[in-house]
Amino acid sequence: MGSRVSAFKRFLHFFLKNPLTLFGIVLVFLFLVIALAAPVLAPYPDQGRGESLMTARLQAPSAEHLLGTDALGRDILSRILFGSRVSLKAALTVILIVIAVGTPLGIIAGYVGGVVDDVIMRISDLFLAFPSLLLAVAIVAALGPNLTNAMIALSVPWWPWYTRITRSQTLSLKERQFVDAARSVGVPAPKIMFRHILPNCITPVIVQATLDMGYIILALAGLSFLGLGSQPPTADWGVMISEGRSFILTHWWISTFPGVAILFSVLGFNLVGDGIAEVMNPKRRR
Amino acid sequence: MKTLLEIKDAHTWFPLPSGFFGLSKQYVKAVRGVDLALGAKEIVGLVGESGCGKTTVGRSIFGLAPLREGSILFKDRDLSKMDKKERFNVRRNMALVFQDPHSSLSPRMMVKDIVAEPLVTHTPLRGKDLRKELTRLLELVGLREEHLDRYPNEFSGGQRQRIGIARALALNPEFLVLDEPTSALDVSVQAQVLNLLLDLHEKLGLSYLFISHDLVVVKYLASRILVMYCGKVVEEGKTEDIFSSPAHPYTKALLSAIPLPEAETPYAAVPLPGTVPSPVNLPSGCAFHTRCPAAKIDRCCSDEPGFISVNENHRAACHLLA
Repeated sequence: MGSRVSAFKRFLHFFLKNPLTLFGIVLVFLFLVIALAAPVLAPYPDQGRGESLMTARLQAPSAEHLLGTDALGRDILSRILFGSRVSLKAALTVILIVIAVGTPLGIIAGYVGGVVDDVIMRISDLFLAFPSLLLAVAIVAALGPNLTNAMIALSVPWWPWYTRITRSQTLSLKERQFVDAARSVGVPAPKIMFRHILPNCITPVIVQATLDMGYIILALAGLSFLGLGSQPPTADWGVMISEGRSFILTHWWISTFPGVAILFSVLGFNLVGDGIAEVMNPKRRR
Repeated sequence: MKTLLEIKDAHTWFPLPSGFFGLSKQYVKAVRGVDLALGAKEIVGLVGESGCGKTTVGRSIFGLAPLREGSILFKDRDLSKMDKKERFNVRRNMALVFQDPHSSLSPRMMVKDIVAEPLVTHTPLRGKDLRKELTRLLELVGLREEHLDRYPNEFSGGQRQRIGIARALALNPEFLVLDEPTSALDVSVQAQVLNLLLDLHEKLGLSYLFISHDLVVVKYLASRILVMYCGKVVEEGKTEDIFSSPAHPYTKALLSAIPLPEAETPYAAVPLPGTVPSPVNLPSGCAFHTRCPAAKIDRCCSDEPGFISVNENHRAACHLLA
């Protein structure tokens, strides 16, 4: 293990030598900038927020509307830019919920062991036994379709992954001598878990979270497409694809461009996640 | 001499995950009846090969390995009979120094937080006073204040071990358990750390239980030595006596294995056949009888030998001495 500075250099070196990861970073960075600056960047910010203009319906891409307009005359580019905010906010929220629930449970299961471990892991198995998207659909159906419920519905089947990651990390960490050192002076268990275990198992959690960002953006768009997530007139990529699907043969741009936006954002997070995972994995380091 | 720490008939077994629904429970019998006493300002060496249970003995003192039987007394008070708070307070008087200086310091904590942990846990010392105390501790082990704000991975093995020793000294303990504190270090660094430990022993009047497989190192430090084999103490005596007239065949074999130039070795070569028996299925009688190079008698395979005094303060567990 080198020093912090050399670890940073290693990162930099790796990313510069891996054009795919670099491309991922650029995509994620663009995504973040767009999400933050959508009102400034969008040519028709009001339409991005949902205002319709019936005189400009279904226009093909042109200089005035770079990506065309939809069935209600709204500028697609503006709506895609605003849609990035919805996606980012929702996906981040889901990731944070999932980490906040899954990580402590995993650490407790791994550190305490015994019956506590069995109970936590069997409950998490229960959630993993269902296909996550199907379970999410069922939960939204029960709670009612809106974005908040869609986020809850995605968090429910997703937290066990983080419990598993942190549990396995904890199992190996608790055998390390620095944990023994803390135990031998009588540091209370909750403090050992928080100060000694948690900081040392956060890296794989971050890798997993980066990879999951893509999946969750995709899953949220999927739920919105089915009408179970964001509701019109919210500019949500899933909703936009859904709105364009009856025009797909005659006015292809309505569904296609939000789809491309989803593609690139998911691709970006996946490439970055793969890149981080590779840097973190000493066996694959070149 | 006042006795600080006494271990009486300690047994530690670890369950093996085995059998159909754990019906046939098996145990690793790591420690099988160890008696040990550590006096004030004394250095006692506990030697034996890997897996003989010496580390487990050290860990059991800190409650890191539960005793199945036996007791541990600190100044004549039984640790297992204390209530939680009392035991917590007694912990101030003892500390553990670990073998592997890479695993014993959390890579995500700065040196100041690592060394401060015992202080924060047991004393109200905070802020400037805490930093002053931390600086004193680092200087005690030959490091400087500027090292406080760094992470462990910026240090060499020897320096890390010094940090580990500083942490152990934080609460002014009366004794340290040193679990192979130098075996992970380069030879040149080993000497530095050993000299530091000797220095601290004299300056602070500390007692050490020095656990090691390296007889040369133990000879350098310890005044008394206990030799362990398969979870039992097989020989115990003053360092001079053990080295000049080892009584147990296993001790003889250990001594003959010390790497010295052939002309200088005072011990005849004693090659041991076979390997260490499994601590799950130990041989009957004397655990050493399967490998013992000495002439065996029937009792070796049937009865476990008790201690037999060789002379004052020197005893060994071997039927052949009777």
